[in-house]
Amino acid sequence: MALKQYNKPHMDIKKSEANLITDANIILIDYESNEEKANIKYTNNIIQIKGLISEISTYDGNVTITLKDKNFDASIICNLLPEENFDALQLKKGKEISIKGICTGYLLDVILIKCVIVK
Amino acid sequence: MCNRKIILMKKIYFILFTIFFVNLAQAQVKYLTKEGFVSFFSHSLVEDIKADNHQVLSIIDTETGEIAIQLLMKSFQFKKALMQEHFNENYIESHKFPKAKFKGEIQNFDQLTDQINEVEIKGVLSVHGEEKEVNTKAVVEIRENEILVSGDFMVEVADFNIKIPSVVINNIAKTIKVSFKLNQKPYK
Repeated sequence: MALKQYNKPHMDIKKSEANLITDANIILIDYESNEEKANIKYTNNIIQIKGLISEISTYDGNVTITLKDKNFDASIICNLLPEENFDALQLKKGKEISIKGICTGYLLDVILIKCVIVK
Repeated sequence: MCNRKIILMKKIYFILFTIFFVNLAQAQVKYLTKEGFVSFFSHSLVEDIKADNHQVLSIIDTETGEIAIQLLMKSFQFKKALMQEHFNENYIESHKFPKAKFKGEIQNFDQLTDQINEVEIKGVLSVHGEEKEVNTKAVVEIRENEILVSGDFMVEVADFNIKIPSVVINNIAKTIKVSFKLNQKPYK
């Protein structure tokens, strides 16, 4: 029993339902107006965000998709799971996308890890 | 009276002008990454623990050699889910202290001439609400359109007021190795 707990797997983002479905501009408003409150609302949860792709970048085998809204300086930086890399590189800038991942907070931008592409 | 006003106006314009150009000049000397890499490693007889963070924010001012790094504790990814939970909830308390920060200076940055340079970085690391001075050796690679800073240093868990329960005291090292690899690009 203890060993089972010790070895329990990470959340399966792909199979799990999002705790919250939202748009890029809403999460950006929330973080710009009150970071602490937004952290309580978003971090540790699987968040699904719809927004426009402003950048797709690769560094050290990690693919990152950046979502932007024209009304904000900050963007949403989504670090993808490695198995999503192939699909991610087929995407185009400026297209709308829905991404699901775990929100970890805010630096200059909202940050999501372990992201998968929803559509 | 009128003359005075003109002089005052000229002064204001001069100040505004200066601020504008100083800002412009600074904007060109800043290098930034939002995809920097920081990991830490704990070795003990019971187990090795490693966690990676691929979303580190780092800014270098090439005029002064100042470097400012920020990361989110929750962005550290562990192999075991339980370790990640314990790290965030019990040890580092990331709900209270969501970020780690480092603010320092790459020594003699203006004198770096080679492509690959061994440097010393001095600064203050702030983790879990505690601040600690850090001096470390690092490698600065100056490439076309990129400054790569990499290296590692050791930190004492006790310096950051992190309490490790006695049940797992043998699982977690007292000294943790922190590695970094930061790929700054010109900031537009």
